[in-house]
Amino acid sequence: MVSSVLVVVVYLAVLTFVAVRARAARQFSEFSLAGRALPLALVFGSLAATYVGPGFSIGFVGRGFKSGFLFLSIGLAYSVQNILVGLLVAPRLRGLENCHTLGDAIGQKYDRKCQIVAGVISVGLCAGFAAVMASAGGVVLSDTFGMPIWSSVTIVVGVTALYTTFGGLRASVITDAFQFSAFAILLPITLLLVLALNLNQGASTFTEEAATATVAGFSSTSPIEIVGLMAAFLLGETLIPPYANRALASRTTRISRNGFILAGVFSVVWFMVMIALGVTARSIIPESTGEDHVLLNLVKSTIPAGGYALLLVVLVSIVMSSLDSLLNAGAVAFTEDIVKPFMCLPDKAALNVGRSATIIIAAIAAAGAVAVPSIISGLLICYTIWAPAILPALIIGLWLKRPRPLAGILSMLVGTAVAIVFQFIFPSAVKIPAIILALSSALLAYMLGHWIERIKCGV
Amino acid sequence: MEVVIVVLVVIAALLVIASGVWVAIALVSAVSKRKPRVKRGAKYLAPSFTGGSAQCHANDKNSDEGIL
Repeated sequence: MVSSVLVVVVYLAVLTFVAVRARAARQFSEFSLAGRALPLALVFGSLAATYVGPGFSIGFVGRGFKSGFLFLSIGLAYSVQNILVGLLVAPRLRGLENCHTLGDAIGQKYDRKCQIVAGVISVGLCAGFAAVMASAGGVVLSDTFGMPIWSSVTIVVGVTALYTTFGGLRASVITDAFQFSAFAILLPITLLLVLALNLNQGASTFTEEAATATVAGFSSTSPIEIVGLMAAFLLGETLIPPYANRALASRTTRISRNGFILAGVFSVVWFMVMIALGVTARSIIPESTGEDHVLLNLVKSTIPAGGYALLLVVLVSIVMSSLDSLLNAGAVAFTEDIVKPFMCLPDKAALNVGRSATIIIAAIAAAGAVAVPSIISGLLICYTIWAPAILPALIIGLWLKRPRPLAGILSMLVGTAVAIVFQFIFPSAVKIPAIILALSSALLAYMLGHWIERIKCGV
Repeated sequence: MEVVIVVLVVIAALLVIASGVWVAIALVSAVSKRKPRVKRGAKYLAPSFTGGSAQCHANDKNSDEGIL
């Protein structure tokens, strides 16, 4: 216990040092886009640290434990998405002038109303994703120290909000890089240690367990569920506000493109490592272990106490690196897309609004953390809303020569409404996954809006 | 076949560790750069991860050339 506390204290001290070195943001452009000066390694590290949240670590280890390599094939959809965004979308986004957020990009392509709607959706989704992260961080701390969940959530959200509020995107990226290095080095080492020391009969046991779990996974998941999950992983996190901010903050368009491509390739090897950890756990911990507790229990039963404390640090890093990005992206979207269209804000005032919004979104996330069902389920709910709400309007808008505002606004409103109705109100009304239904509706609404405005303008 | 799968997993783990080390090196270089000296008469310098000057970044903005 004492060694665990010591490791956490040392970790927090180093994190504070790194955050202080990143310096407080003095202008809104520093707070929102880190002066548009990020080099490739930091864009890549920050992107990977943001998407590797509790879902892609604790969640994937749990899925590897239950369904073997099934989730590796589903996760590949996510890797493909990142590479496609790098090749097709990120450079176009980075090429836009005076663009701080996705809402800005949508506002430039359509009109101000579309920007405000995109801003409201962005802030809502950032708060939702942040609540999932806060919940995961709370679970990790309370499992380890036996603290009440509300105090664990408060500690994780409080520390993260503190450095994000003052340092903005720059502090977020710098601390992300530190946290990425911590978990990208320590978790694979854990896997190598478990493989070397704890797996009886080595390779054959691992392969047998992998085959058994994968067959069980495929037989317990229907093809339509697999299609729905692949759609969620392919589209659900595409260009969510923190990723878009990193595309916009890259030093050049080339760095923006390469950062996303590298992050996509990295996700393949990362998923392999997480799934492999889950598979190795099958012969070590009881089969009845809950999905979200597999990684913690595996390490508890295989690594000495000091190692367990290190893992705790890794898990807290994973949570904080995603949470800080979401808080910053939500605050920037609030300032740029919701407040600025209604009033002229001097730079200093915009910086203060951004900082205040960071604290408010952090408080909402902490309060909402108790309502999160489970890490993966929470993430899937957010994916289901984000993809139909924003992607058709954003991606088509970036590619069309003359995108129509009515098409953009209709697609965002219809996509959001259909996703909410079929995710929350009538979840079992149709057999098709809500994300596919909502995405098709958003695309139809876009085409309808485009057609109506085209007839109206006679062009 | 069994050995091949385990070797692939080990290679994946080593690649992840290598990425972590690469980003750690970039991070150390970013946080250990000294702040650029402010020249007499210059109001302020643009913040930078590389220690470059405001003019350098202004020239570089939206270009694919990088800092020369």
